[in-house]
Amino acid sequence: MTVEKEDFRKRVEALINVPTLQGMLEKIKPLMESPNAGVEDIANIISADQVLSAKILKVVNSVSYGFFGRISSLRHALVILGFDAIKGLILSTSVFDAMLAAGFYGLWKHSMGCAITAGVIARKIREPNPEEVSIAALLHDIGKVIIKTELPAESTSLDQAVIEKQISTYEAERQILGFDHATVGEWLCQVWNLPDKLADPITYHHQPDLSCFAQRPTAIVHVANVFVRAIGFGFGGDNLVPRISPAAWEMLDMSDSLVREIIGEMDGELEDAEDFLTANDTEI
Amino acid sequence: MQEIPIRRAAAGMKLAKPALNDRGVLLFATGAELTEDNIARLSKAGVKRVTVEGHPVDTDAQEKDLGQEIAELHARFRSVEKDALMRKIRGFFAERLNERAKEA
Repeated sequence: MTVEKEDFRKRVEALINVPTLQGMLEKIKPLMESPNAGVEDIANIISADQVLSAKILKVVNSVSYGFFGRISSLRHALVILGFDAIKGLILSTSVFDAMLAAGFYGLWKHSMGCAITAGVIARKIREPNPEEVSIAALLHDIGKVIIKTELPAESTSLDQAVIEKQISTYEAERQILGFDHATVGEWLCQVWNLPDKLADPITYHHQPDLSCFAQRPTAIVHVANVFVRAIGFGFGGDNLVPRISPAAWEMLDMSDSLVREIIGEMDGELEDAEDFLTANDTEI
Repeated sequence: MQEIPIRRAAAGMKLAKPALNDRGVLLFATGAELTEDNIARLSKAGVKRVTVEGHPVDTDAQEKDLGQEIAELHARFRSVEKDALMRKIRGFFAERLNERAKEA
């Protein structure tokens, strides 16, 4: 079973199977690039799509649970999160819709858990824009969604390899496909023109040392992915905790007591989030 | 009698010891029957544990759960257990599981 990397890249680049996303991004792009556009202008356009608005608010409230209190308006979400993060959210809600529709609940929960954990770490180490880091974490495995939906036969082989060889999905992808979900994520970031602060953590969450433009956010998402797997929240495709890059760990400079605080806080937030998500029928 | 965390308290249980706040002020006397309302009041007053009549909470099941959770934690770390940093991180998560079990 072989998949030509360049052929698959072209398929990914041609992926416009998320119409809400593409239409919405096209509408708000000029506004995002205009120095005169205000929060109200963008909020008005997104608010016109009530389903999308509700989904965005739901995700925002899930990943920032317990920090801001409830965010009840898109305008409020835009002020807190910023345009880039909202762009990432529009992307994530559309892609995660596809994920849930295809029954990948465990991966969605893993992504939500990673977003919550990254937010906790970012706040604890006083990283600027912790919400943005959360959104990057929410999207970190977006490449897995594309592989699962676009390459179903290969995905079955990947799942088998994970079980039979006791390897991670990441390793299985490299062995069987010749490329991995982080690379697919990178292609998507390019197609959707996402900023480096979102693209780097998605592209390098397994190799944070390679990040050039968003080293700390990438290190945070890398560690958050390890922590959420360690605690066993959701399912990222395998049940193996990956190794943390010593350089990324050193960069975040977390004392033992801070790590304990982070784990305590993430545990509490994940428990709350689980209740919140379950109460909302697990749909985004 | 059994000492239980407040979150395991349920309406209908009876206090076997008085419930005091952290300054020692009596909130409910021995024999008081717990209701949803007064459990909420105790929780709001910062009471973490209460002693109730009988043995209404199955703590043995909790112990088994902890053992299983620790085993699962080790299984998740199986491919990185030779790495000193990862062993340390696993230790932090094991500590958290133990804390949770104590809270329960």
